[in-house]
Amino acid sequence: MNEDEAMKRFLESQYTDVYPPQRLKVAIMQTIEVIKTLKELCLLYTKASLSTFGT
Amino acid sequence: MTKPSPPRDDATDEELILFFLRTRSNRIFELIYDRYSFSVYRKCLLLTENEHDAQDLAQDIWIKVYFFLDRFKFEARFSTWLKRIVVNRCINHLKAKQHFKFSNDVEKDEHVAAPKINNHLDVTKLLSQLSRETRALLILKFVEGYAYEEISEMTGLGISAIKMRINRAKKELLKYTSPVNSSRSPRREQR
Repeated sequence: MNEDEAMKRFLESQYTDVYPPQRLKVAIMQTIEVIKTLKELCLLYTKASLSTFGT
Repeated sequence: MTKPSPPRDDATDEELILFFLRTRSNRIFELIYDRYSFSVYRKCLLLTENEHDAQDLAQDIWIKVYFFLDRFKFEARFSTWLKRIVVNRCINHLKAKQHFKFSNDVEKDEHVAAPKINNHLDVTKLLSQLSRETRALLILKFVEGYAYEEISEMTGLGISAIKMRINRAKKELLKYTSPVNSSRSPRREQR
């Protein structure tokens, strides 16, 4: 095994059993939904503004 | 227009992405997430060495992936595209923190002392003796497999400084990772 391979194995031996918590996935999906809702609201607001000003 | 049939769980990444781009289905996104969540989180942990930061970064990265997946051009593998996003995000995070500053100053590089735990090799303890930037350089080179030129582009460091710092840290670490040498006593580097 050459030195680079030894280094790779050595560094990769860290955090091999640390998994992301399940609540992270939940938080990500919830944040995505919030951003989607905000984007839709922005779009609706823009459309409403444009029609109010007759453009 | 016929509704596209959902891909099976064993579909390729590209099949999942194509389906996701057509439907914006959260279920499909979750399948992609499940495949790569460990790898993304672990890269964040390796580069930041902080669980809280790693979770924040992973969340940020996955939200970006959700909204910008249409920028994936199918020219490389999805895993390669994702890896680059993770690494760039982590490097930017580390650069933004004042305690972390990539520097071309190779003279200030550190040495590694053997862990004082009955010759048992504790990787984390050994690595904790290196500076954050040196650890990040080692991870980028040996775990992520980036070329020196790519690391230079990411970090803003000169190629010769990167090579020197990596080689110096590698020499120090390998003294204690080899089974023959693992019990040798630490030696202070003479400057």
